[in-house]
Amino acid sequence: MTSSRVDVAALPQSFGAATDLAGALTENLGRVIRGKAEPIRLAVTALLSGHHLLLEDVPGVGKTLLAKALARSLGGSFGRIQGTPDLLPAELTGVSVFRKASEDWEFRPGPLFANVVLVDEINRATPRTQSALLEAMAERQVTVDGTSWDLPDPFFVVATQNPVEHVGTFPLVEGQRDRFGLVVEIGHPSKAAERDLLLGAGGAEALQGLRPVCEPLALAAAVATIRTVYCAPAIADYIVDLVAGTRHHGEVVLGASPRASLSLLHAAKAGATMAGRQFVVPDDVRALAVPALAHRLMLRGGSDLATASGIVSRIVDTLPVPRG
Amino acid sequence: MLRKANAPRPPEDSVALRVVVAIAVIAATTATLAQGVGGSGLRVAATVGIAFGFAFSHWARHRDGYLLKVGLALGVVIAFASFLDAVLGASTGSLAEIQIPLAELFLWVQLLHALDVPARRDLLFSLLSSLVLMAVAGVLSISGGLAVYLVVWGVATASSLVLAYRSEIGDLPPLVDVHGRLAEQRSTVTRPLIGAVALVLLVATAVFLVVPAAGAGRAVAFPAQLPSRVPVPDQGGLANPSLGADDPSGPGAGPGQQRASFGYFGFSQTMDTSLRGRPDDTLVMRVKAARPDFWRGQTFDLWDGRVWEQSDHEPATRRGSSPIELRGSVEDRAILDRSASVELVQTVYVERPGPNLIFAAASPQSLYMSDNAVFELNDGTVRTGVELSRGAVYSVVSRRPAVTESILRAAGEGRVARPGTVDRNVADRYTQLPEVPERVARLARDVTASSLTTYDKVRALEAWMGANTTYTLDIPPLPAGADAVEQYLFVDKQGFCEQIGTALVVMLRSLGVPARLAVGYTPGERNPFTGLFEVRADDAHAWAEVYFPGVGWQAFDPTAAVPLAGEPFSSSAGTGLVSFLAGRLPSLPAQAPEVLAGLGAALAITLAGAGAVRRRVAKRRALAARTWPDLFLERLEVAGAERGRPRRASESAIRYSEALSTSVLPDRRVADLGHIIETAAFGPEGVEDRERRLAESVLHEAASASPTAGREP
Repeated sequence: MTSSRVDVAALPQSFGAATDLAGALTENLGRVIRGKAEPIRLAVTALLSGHHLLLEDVPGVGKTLLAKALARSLGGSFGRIQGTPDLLPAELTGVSVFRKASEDWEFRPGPLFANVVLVDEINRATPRTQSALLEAMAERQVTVDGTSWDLPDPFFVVATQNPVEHVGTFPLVEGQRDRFGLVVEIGHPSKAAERDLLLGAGGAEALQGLRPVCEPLALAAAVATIRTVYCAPAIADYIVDLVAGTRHHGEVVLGASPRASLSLLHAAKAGATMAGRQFVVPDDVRALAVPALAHRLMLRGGSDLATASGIVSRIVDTLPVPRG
Repeated sequence: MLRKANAPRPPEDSVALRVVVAIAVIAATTATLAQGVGGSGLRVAATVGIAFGFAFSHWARHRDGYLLKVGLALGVVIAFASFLDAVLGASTGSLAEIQIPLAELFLWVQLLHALDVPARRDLLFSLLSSLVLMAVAGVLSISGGLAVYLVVWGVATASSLVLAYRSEIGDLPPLVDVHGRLAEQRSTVTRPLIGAVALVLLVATAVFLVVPAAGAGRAVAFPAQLPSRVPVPDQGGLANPSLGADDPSGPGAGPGQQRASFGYFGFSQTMDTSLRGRPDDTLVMRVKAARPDFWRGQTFDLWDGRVWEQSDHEPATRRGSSPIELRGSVEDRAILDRSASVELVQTVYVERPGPNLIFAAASPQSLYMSDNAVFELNDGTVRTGVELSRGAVYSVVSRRPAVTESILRAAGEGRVARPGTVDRNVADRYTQLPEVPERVARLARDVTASSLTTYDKVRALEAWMGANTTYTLDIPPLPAGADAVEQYLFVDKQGFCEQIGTALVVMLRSLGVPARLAVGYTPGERNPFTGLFEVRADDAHAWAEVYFPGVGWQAFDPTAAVPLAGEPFSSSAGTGLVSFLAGRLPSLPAQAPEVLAGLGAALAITLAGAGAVRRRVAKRRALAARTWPDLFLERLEVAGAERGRPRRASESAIRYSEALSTSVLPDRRVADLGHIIETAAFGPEGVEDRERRLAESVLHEAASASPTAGREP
């Protein structure tokens, strides 16, 4: 049994380094994805919070490009999985192969064994494959033929899905969506950004020239550092109130889970770090409530992200911020 | 550490705080000045200078003012030098003479300090030194007039402490404010203020009633002062300007030499009991003493049936300088030398020009006075060589044997005074009588027939007079040729102290008991607030002194209740408070129903008040539980709301302050306030006081620069 786990507590923890890393990542991604500061910021936030990211939008707006740019910026190993109906779980996790030379089974790791894993079109994979993937995301380990293998650290999954297409897709159920820390919609570019794209700025060409801004270990250290960002009791109360608000909303059948509260807190800590602050303020929570909570809500008339986002927005806009 | 402690503090911007501190300091200063400290120059400098100093400090609060500091240091050195000069130049070297220069030094320091009070800490220091000044004034004060200053000072001090505290917790009411808000804020200052004042009054009253009365004995220095040094015309003789033309010993009955309304004819070299008319209630002197006593001026030993006279016409000169040691009479000295005695220190503050007599409890031993010679008669009473005008102060240490009833009863029993002894000399001198009417002598014998001891004889005579004569000031004139005692005892059957005292002395002498008539003042009413006995002209009194062999002279008086020396007289500072107040309130019985109703109402109000206080305490606790960021955000909200941009409930302080900074409070620095608030609220370590104050001053300035008036809401 091999272990690529890193004892993050032993890593040099520097708050300034975490902030610098966030800045470098944001800048790097900005070279590729033009005019999309907010999705980039959210993507970096998700990465630094230690949770996985789901990019959900119509085709052609740069979901895959963003995921690739993210992977490339991080250095480390990169795995890519294309979601198709015939994709099998073993093709993700890897298989055990019998070697004649050693007369033994040898484990051949699949694409999940990477620091950054891009899962394209996750909703095209079958529910069986999806749950194998999501289990690996939650457990950070895979089990093949009775043997458990740890996934590397950091382990960061960027998945994309197209919410509009329904034919030939298997939408993620709420429990599976809950595994993603943040869900980000990219949206169409502005006219100016699209014009830049046509004129050759950014895009795939820029991706080729992208250099990694950090080592995987540095990212692991940054994530560990960010978890130590101070959260005042009043802020914790505020998060609890926000999440409770989704549970008691009339249109919501199933509100956000305690895991949602935790991942909102981690995201808020990452947000604070990116602002160069070592403590969480209400604005950190406010800015991340929709991407962190909306995708987890099960609504009465069928869950769609736009409606859920609206509900979370309204809760954020009516709940008084703590005064300290 | 040191550097931090000495670091310049941020200037205090609150005008209100500065003004109340200035009021407290000026109240303390004028209170001290009112006690006769300082010349006219210091008076003007202190009153005008301190007000100017505070105004100047406020104006220059942002400046470094190194030059000013150097100047002030120089000023303090000069003030100290002049203090040293005054002390070294003091004539007698007594501590009492340092008192005034020291108070002046305090005043100068206070004045100089007022010029450099930029920060709150300096203001509070100024407040503290005003407390010292107030204490100085309290020590020097002898009248209730200090109360006015004390009230003003107390209110101003309490206000400044409340303001400073509120400023400290970030709840100082904004000065630029709309009326409604300001009124509410003001009540948050007034209510705790009233509470604090009430509490202080309550505690002070309780302490006042418990602590023992100080009297003059505990003073380090015995005050002595003469405002002017005018020698009396006849050195060693008696002069009483208050008697004017009536003074038999005076220079003559010139026209316009009217007797003052408070002059008492007993303070003269002779006392004619046929004279009538009593002084009014003019305040003639204040006496600081630990217990009441007769303030004796002189005694008379020669009686001719109508007039008392003194046999000693050649008083001995006693020289010395603070204190002047006195000898006392031969008999007093003999007794004090061998028996236990009690001491009483009294300081007399003369309020009206009167006789040049030293009034003191018997028997004076040493005299603190700003003159180096006095004249002592052989009965132990003292005359001064200078006039005692208003403002004159002298202190006397008196001693007399500790006596009780049983000692007096046992005195002289079974002793025969041999010729040449002290007792015999006293008996010879103080039992001489002219022809005593037979029925007077018989009455004395009859009344005392069953009395075995001198003490019981005195008591029996007193009792008889109390039962068979009445005390009145309004008696008919003494017919020509009539014996004053006979007239009083058998004809008029009424009289006042001269008659009663004289009758007692004459009857005792007829029985062979040495006795004499003493004149002076009864203790007077003790003012519990100043702790001084206020002696008025109509407290002038004559009483009998009876000699007990081996014990000495003892005063007796059926009309004035004065404890025997040696009897325990316990008193607290507040002794007599109720009777003092009762004497100044309308008589109660006539208004008993109203009084009862008033008491009931007071009880109801007290109960209601207790409830209110409890609610108030709960509210204050809730307020105290509020944090600085919470309170400061509220101020920001108020400032924004008044200018038409209230905060939305879900809007964070950061966003709100940014919004304000670009709209209704156009000040770049306002944008940072949200960060400071949220760092204080949510940061692991909060923010430093310095940053809080900076934030407060930024908001204050931005609010001042952008008034609410003229803006559409």
